[in-house]
Amino acid sequence: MTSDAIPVRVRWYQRFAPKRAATRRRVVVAFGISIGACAAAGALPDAPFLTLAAILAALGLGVAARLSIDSAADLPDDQLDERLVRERDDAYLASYRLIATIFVVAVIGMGMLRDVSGDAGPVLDALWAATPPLVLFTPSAVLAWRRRDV
Amino acid sequence: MVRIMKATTDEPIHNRLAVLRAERGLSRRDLAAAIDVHYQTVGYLERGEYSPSLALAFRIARYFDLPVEAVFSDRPFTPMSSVVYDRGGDPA
Repeated sequence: MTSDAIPVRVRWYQRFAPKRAATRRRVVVAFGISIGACAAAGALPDAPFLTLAAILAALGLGVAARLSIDSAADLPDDQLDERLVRERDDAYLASYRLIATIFVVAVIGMGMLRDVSGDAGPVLDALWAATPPLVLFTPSAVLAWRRRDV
Repeated sequence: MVRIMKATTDEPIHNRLAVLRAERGLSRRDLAAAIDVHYQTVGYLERGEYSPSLALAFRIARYFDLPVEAVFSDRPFTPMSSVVYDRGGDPA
């Protein structure tokens, strides 16, 4: 890590980033709810605008979670110190486990739905809608959830 | 048989960072900039919530111009005041 990596200049959008742990956690909870909303809206037939709105809301909350940790989940090693690198790597491990679990459950759900109704489409649509924000911002959400006030 | 030592973070590493920083009138940000870490990492180190790598421990010790064992220990440090007064030294 070089001293240049310590953010000195505050960019305009960073003023809106959650600063306190309690606020960060609220954002993460809202992000989780919005992921659920994406899946629910995606599973609904003929609701493209609702799905799009849910995806945009989830992406917005994901960006808020990312900003709240100074984008630490997406920075390379040389811009983080050793503690932050370990924190980031732990967050990626937890994210991988979470996302893998969700996908395994979804695949099992698709199999069961196909056997019951002959159409696994709704689960596939739900997965399609929830995947972009889930994959893009889960590491940031995990880090935002774990980071405490110092 | 080769025995693999399990890496553990449960063993606390004690340090005198807070005392040394206070003695020199440094803020956490000052120290962080000097040893090239994020300022929150200094807080984590001081509270014993994060054990530094050997490289970082040496960097910190070098910054304070002390041997590494004067800054970090696997056993709790004796308070500085006890060290000074028990030896009958003049704290002034």
